[in-house]
Amino acid sequence: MRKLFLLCILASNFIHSQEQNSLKKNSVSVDFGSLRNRYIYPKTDINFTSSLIKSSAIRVSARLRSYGTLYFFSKTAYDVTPLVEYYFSKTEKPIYFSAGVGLDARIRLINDSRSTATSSLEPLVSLALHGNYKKVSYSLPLWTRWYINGISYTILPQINWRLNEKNALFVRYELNYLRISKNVSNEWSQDVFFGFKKNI
Amino acid sequence: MNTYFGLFYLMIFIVISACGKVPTSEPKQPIPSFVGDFENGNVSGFHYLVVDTTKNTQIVIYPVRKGKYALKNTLNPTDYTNNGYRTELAIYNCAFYKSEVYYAFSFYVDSNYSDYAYSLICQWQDLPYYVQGEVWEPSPKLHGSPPPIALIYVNETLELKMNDSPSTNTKTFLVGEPLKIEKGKWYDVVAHMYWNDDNTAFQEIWINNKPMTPFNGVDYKYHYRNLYNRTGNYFKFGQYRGKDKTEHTNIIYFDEVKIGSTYNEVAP
Repeated sequence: MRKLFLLCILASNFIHSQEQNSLKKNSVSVDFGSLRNRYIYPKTDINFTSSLIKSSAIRVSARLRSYGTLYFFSKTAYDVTPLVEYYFSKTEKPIYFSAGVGLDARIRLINDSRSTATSSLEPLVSLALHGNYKKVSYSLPLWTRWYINGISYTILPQINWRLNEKNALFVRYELNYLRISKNVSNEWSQDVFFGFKKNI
Repeated sequence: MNTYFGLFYLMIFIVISACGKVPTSEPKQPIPSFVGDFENGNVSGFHYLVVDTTKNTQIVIYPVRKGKYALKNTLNPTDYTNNGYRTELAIYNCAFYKSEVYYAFSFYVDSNYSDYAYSLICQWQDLPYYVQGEVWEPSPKLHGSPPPIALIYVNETLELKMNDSPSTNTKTFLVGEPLKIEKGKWYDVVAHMYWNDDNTAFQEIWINNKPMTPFNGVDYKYHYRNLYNRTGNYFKFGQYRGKDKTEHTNIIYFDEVKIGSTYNEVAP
C-alpha cells in the first residue's frame, strides 16, 4: 500500500513536471560557497544555461567562478567554464541524461612570488544524470578534465528546491579527485555551495 | 562519415587544448640550500616584515655566534606592520609538500629583554592554496589562525607549539616540555621537518644538540600534520606578537640561519 502511494506521488510529480519543462527556458543562477577541505574559503559562481536550442536537444551553458570573495568581483582568480551539452530527452523526467564537452579556463592574476598558479585552458567532458519531481529536481554531473600532467574528475550533485515556476533554491556539493600521472600524486578536495536559480 | 570526422577532430581538440597542470602541488619539489650568516655585513637574501629595516634589523659585531657579524632584531611597542606587531625576516619556497628539510638558526635573548608575554621567534607559516585560486585576505576573511608550527619565547622559556585548526586560534597545543632560556646566552636550534598534510608529517627539533621533541620509542620525530594545504609553508624568524602590543622594546640576536638537506649541512 505504501509503495503504491509512493508510486502515485511519483507519477503525479512526473505529470506536473512535464507541464513546466524548464529545459525550454533559459536560466540564471548565483551561488555562494564554500566549506573547503579544512577551512572556510569564499567563492562565488554566476551560471547561465540556455533552453534547448530549437529543433535540437542541445543546451549551452557558461559558469563564471570567482575566488576569494562573496561579492563576485575578484582581483586575483576566476574560472570560466563554457559547456555544450546534448540532452537525451527533450522533456524533464524523473531520470534523464546529458553529455557534453566544454572548456575550463583558469585565470590567475595573483602577484606573489610564493605562488606557482598560472592561467591555463583545459578541455572538459561532462556526463550527467538529471531528474525532476514536483518541488525538487536534481542533477548529478561528472566532469573530467585533462591536463598536461594528469587528469581530474569532479562530481557535482545539485538539488534544487522549486519555490515557484520561476525561482528555485539549491545546494551543490563538489567532490574533486586530482591525479598527477608522473611522480604520482592524488588529492581529494571538496566544496559546498548554496544558491538561487531563476528561469528567464 | 562526417560524424567520425567530427569525433576525430574532437579528440584532437581535447588532446591539444590541455595546456595547464593539475591544480595540486607536485610532491618532493627540490629545495635549494640557504645560508644567512650575515657575514657579508648586511641582511640581503631575506624578505622583510619590518617597519624600518635600518632600526629593526641591524648588523652587529657583538654578540655573534660564529664569524664576525650577527643580526640585532628589535621590536618596539609601536612596530605594527602586515596586520601584527612584528619584526620578522622570511625565507620563501623552503617547505614544500612531501619534502624533508633541515633548518637551523642561533638566537640570543638580550639581557635587558623585559617582557614575559609570548613572542614567536620562528614559525613555519602556512600559505593560501594558490593553484586552487586562493589568496591572502579573501573578502570576507573567513579563516585565520596561528601557524601550523612555531617556536615561542614566553615567560623566559621556549615552547614548541603546533596548531590543529586553520580556522580558529583555540586549537594550539604544546609539543614536549618548555625549555628554560637564560638571557645573554646563545642557543642553537636545528629543526628536521617532513612536510605533509597528513600525520605522516614529522618535526624533530634539537636545542643545543639536545632533542626538544619527545621520544616516541624509536626516535624524537613528533608525527603530526604540519601543512594546512599542499602549497607548503614558508619560514620566518624574528619577533612576532600578533595583535598584542609589546610593553617594552625587546631585542633578540640571531645568527647562522641555514636551510639544507642534512643535519651537518645546517648545524652551527
